Amino acid sequence: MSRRVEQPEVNLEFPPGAADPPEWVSRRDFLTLLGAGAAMAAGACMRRPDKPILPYVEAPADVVPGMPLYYATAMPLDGYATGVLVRSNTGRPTKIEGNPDHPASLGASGALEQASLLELYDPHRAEAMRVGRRRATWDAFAAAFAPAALSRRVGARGAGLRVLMPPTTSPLTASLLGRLGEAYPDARTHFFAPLASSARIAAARTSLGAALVPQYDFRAADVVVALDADILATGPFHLRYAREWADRRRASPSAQLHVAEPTPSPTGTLAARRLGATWSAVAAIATALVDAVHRDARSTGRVSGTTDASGGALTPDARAWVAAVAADLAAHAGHSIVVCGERQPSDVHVLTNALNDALGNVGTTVWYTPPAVLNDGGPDHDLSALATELRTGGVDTLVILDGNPCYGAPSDIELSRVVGAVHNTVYLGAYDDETARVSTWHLPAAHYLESWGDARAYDGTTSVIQPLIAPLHGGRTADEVLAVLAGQPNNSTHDLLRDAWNSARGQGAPTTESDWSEALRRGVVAGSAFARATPAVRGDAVAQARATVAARGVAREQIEIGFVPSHAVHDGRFADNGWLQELPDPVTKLTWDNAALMAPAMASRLGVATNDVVKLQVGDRALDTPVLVVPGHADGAVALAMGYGRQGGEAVARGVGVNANALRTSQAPHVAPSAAVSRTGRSHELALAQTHWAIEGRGSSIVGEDGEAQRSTASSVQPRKRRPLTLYEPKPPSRDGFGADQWAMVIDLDVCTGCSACVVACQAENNIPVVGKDGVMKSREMHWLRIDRYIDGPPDDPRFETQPMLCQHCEKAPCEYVCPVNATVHSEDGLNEMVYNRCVGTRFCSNNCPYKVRRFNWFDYNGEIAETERMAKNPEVTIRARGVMEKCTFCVQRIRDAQMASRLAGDPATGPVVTACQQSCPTQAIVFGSLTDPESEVSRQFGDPRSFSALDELGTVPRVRYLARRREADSSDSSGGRAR
Amino acid sequence: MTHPRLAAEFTTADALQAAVDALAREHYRELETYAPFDMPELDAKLGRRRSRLGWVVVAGGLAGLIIAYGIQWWANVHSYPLYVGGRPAHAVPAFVPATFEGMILAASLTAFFGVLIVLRLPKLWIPEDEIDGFSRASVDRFWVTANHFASDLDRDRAAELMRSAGARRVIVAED
Amino acid sequence: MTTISAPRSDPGSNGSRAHAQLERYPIMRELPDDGTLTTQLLAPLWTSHPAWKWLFMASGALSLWFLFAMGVTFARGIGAWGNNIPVAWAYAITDFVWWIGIGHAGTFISAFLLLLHQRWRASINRLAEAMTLFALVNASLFPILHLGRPWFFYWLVPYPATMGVWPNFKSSLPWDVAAISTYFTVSLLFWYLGLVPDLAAARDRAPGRTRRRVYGVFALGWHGSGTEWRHYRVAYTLLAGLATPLVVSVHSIVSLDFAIAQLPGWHSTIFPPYFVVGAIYSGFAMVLMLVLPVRHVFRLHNVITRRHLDHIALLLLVTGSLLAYSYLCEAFGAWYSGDLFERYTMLTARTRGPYAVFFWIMTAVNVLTPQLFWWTRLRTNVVVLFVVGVMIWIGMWLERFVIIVASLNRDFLPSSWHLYAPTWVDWSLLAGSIGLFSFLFLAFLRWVPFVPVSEVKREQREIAFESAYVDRDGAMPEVTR
Repeated sequence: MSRRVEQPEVNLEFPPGAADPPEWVSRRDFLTLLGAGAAMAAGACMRRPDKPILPYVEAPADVVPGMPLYYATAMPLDGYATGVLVRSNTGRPTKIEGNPDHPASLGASGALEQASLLELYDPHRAEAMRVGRRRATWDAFAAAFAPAALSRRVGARGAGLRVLMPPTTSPLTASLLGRLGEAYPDARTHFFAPLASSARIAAARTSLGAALVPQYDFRAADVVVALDADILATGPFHLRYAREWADRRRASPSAQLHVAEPTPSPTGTLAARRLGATWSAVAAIATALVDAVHRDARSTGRVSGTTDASGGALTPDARAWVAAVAADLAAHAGHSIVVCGERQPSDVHVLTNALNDALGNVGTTVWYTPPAVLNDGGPDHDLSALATELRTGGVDTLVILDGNPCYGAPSDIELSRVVGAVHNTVYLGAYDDETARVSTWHLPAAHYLESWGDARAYDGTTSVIQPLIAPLHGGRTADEVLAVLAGQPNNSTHDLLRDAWNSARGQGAPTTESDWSEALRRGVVAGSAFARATPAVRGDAVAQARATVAARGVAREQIEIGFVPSHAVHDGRFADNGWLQELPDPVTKLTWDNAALMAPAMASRLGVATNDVVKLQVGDRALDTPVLVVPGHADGAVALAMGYGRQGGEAVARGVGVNANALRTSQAPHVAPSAAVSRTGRSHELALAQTHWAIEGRGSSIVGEDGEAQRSTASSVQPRKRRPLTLYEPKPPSRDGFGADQWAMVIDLDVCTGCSACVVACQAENNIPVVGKDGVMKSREMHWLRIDRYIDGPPDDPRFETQPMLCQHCEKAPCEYVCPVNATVHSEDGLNEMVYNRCVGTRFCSNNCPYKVRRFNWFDYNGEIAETERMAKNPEVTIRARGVMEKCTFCVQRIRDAQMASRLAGDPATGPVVTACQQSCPTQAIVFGSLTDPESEVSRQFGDPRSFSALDELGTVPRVRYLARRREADSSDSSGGRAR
Repeated sequence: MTHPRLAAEFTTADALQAAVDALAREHYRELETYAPFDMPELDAKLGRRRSRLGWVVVAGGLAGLIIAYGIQWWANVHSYPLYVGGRPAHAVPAFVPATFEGMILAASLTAFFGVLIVLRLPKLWIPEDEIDGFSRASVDRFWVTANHFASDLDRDRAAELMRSAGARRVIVAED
Repeated sequence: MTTISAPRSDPGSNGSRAHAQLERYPIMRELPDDGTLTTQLLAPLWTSHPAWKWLFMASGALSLWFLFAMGVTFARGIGAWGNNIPVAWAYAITDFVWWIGIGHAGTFISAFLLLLHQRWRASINRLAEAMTLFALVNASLFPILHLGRPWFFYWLVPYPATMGVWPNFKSSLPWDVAAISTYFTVSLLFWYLGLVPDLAAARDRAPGRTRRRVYGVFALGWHGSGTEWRHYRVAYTLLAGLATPLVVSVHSIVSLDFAIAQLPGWHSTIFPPYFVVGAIYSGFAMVLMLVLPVRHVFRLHNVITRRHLDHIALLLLVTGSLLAYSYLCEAFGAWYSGDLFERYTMLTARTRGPYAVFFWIMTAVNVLTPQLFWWTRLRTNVVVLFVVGVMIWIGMWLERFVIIVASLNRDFLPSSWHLYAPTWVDWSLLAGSIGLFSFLFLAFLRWVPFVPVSEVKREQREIAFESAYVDRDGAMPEVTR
């Protein structure tokens, strides 16, 4: 195995293990691992953090010895904190859930949060500190970089010292950087993250006169317009936004979401009016909206919804969309929100601010706060400035605190080369990645579950990050490194944290012991959110912005390439995570790859189809990329996900997909305005978890809608209460015992974004293995819960259907009666049970399952995984052997836990059961409970007029029902984003 | 003495039949015939009744039927009833196929081993084997043998009849 | 059946020609006396054909490859195959149904035709029975191979388990176990019982002690006494009587593996008769593939005459036409049901889906080729017969492939649709099973009397008798009954 990693992998198309020849079990070499030795030594025993950490005060599970404990902490991503509760079984973090008290989570947790658990146990993580080729120790580092020693290199004022780190929100880091500044006045810190954009703040500076970021309250919004903004599935607050929007839709079904976006996003699939528009077109649309809405708004407070000539640059579809949306906005002035995406230039953000201002939303649904990120990176603090300095020389020591900039940097900077030229480079990073390979020192970074620290949420709310486990590989935190540089090497981060907070008063930082304990227990520091501001928009700035946008115009002939974050690996930091690599993209269902997404029209013009490799060209930079044709994609735009094409030392990540950064430049890091696309004649097979998007006219049976008829009639579906004829009446629930509960689930398709958080949650909770790219291409994914995606209708303006599909726990289960050995039977409480140790693997059950939710262990997937990976397994759930069928169990382990708890408490009724998918769902689209309790939410929703069973006519009588999506009746105009 | 008291060898089935006719006409019934293939036409003459094996097989078949259904009922209904696919534990139609197969299997075994037992097979030696050349009975020769005669006269008469029927040779055992 | 085997009443050809046929092709021709006949039919036991050794070794090698592919499957898991979700069944089950179908002709010929006094069966029934047995050996291997955990295959049998967990008899798979094991046992007994008189003949003709001893042991001391024949006759007929409903039940039950499922393309009530007909059809095709070379190599033209070939061809014509009718019914049922999914699978996916090419090949081969046999000349043309036999043999494999894979790969939810592609292991198992069959069959040809000597003699005697009767008053001999 170690052989795999030492060889130069540059030419490897797929990660080792993930794509060995089909037959070989060792395909999952990325689960078996190099360096398992050290990992075992580390993993074998319990590793309690040495400082007292405190469990979540309202632990969902009874705090009984032997029972799991839940701890509150926060996961920083792009600097912003998302509060999580982490389940710890005998000192091993085994599951990550959302923290209801945290503003960015509200109890939910996204796919990335869920999967960060696997990152902790990733056996590819760097295990030893090294300098050059030799192993080093922390003390050696501390000695070499203590001011006494370092100042000799970088000068007393630190002129030769530079620090490069991703944007951070941590007050502690802030204070340490302060101390560093005191120690080395001439040293400078630069901030860089591949996805970070300063457009929003820059826009605020120009249009609002201060560095501010907008905050939204979707609970109060009747109309939401997202311009190239995937508000419901990406961004620091997306969990909150999704939840608020879902609540709003539940409260008032008339609330509408309108989206104009270049590439289909989960948000777009939920839109009432969705328009595929290139990035530059989105800007023009913003202008058109301003024209339509802005006129006299301030003076009269009345808003007209008419477009004017400024829409001239737009296609008829776009103009129609603008007209309809503007009218809708006008009708709901003061109760609407216009959001603009990170990739849009600051001018468009200005226009967006203007719109919210004109509509009188500011103060009701929109307000502003200072940015939580510390120093958004002014011009002299950005990467290109640093690169220039490095080239010109004079920098002796460069300290890179995580973020793998040598991979993520725009290609024109050639960071690897310039960094390699620096004499003395320190890299604190979790992996032996691209940056580590050009650095003198490599210090393994501690995972957030291994470290103390703090971070702010997008609204400023501060969280304490407390470790669940002592560092597995002696990892360190950025704060510890900064402390060394600042001359206080002996303080642990814990102490640094306490000191920093004691010194930082007035920001609601806890000072007393009880505050501290409370902060640890709840995971948030009460009242630490920023104060709201509602500044007015400067008219001149708006005019200026309109001018710039108009000047830039709309790309007609040339092709725009947008570099979008991957829903799976984000900017590449999760690239070594098997769970995420195999997580199907919410829209395209693509796994183990990134691809050039483009519209069908564009593909046919280029004469290419999915799997054909095209050459993307931006200036003199070129990149060969497989094509994935996506209906609903904006014609003229190509979307390319970032975070792939890694060439570092991570065995899983290496070679998966292509590196989008090769096309990015520091001038156009997010959208390349004029690019060329040409065919190469080669092809590369993409692993799509779903190979057929058309619904084949089965909509009414599958997603509870009968297409055209539906749209022309009501806005909500009439439930089809057909009860198929049967010889055998269902078994009546028994009064007591297991049978007293009859478990069931309802999934609301009206608010399901398809974000796939539930998929990863299920994978983590139920020890579901990863099968690798070859496995996916052979359609052997093991996900118990998958998100079905149907894209139907006209390819330029299709109809998106999203449907989480899991075992339906049919009362008349077709899988059961065909099993020759009674390995799948029905339980007293209505569960379709899978008896692993009885299964002989005839697979008849899968053939007879109309939902095809059963998963088969084609190989011994769990046989040869690393010791660290074993630590991630949930001890409550059986590890399945080769040759055995498996499937969703409704999280039976959680059901039985709740039943035992209530028995012990002498409570006749079983306490609430929350399945893993339900727990993670940002929109609370999943409801679970017992039908025997008429009061239960699930009973209520079973009776909902929108509720239906998938493939009802088969008479399987599923215990999972769906609430059909509400689609507003089609408006007369067929263009401009037909109601979908 | 080992081999039968009287044995005659014929070269054709017709000759054998003629001989049997002749002997039967004179009430020699205690005969055994040997032929390379089945000659049912002899049975009537020698008053052989139809084999009763059939009834045994019927009994065997019934037993198999009962056992097969019994096993299924006991396993799925009585010993360990499970709630499967929303169907009743005692699923009569589902039990039919295996029951039928069980019946056929038992009946066939009865028929096969029945015939072996009735004929006391395997039987590696019979007195006739002592006759030189008798082994061609399985190939292209036809034999009649007889053991019980009221007197030597009878025996000679029988031998005479066989010769006249065209026996290739007649072997008379000396006491 | 009379209409089938007597060209006289064959609607396809007029009486006079058929009359001529009969005289030109008697069931047996210029037969020698019993002794010479026996010598001729037993000769292959004593002397090996030069080509035999090489064929035997080749098939042996292929059988070893079969073992290797099995080893790979056991060692790595079913993942070594191309199967996936939704196509969880593919080659292995196709091969299983195919082989067991082939296994039907033997019992049909020996039992069914025996009951109907089809005299022409006599010379070929043992070949056909042996074919049945060896096909069943393959057929019974695949379901076990196919299990995710094959070492637990016995869990499908209601053995006295300490776990107290029993098979689920609502599932058709335990029915399969019962049907196949019964069918194999009964076929074996029937085959062996029929062999006993011939083994006795072999014993008595064997050169050298050893062979005499060996055949002697298997002959069970049979002497052909009147008493023995009297009981033997009944037992043999009874077995035939039992095997006849059995042969119908076995493939009906196999068809239920699909029919009890609710998958479009499987969930159909016409499957049992449809499958039985298809089974006999494929079986007879393979009988042709085996009989023609054997007849040629061993110069058996006197006992396996054109009459036999003619009748087999007619049976192919009939079963082939019945099969065509089943295809029609299947499609019509799907259309008439009005069910969205049924219609899609049977009418759209089958004919235009990813596996449409196999569907059309299968339809062409299985429906059209047997229609050649409306022409008497083609019915007795050795080359045509052999080619058609091979084509149908392949066509019927394709039929099972289409039924299984083309139904599974596109079921209810389009989201789970996925294609299937076999791996080298799938191919090896298919080829290997053919190798094993050939291996066993060649061994049978070498060491077992493959033409029922005793029965042929009996038939010869009857024919001789009847022709004498014909000579007297020129009436048609009743040899075609």
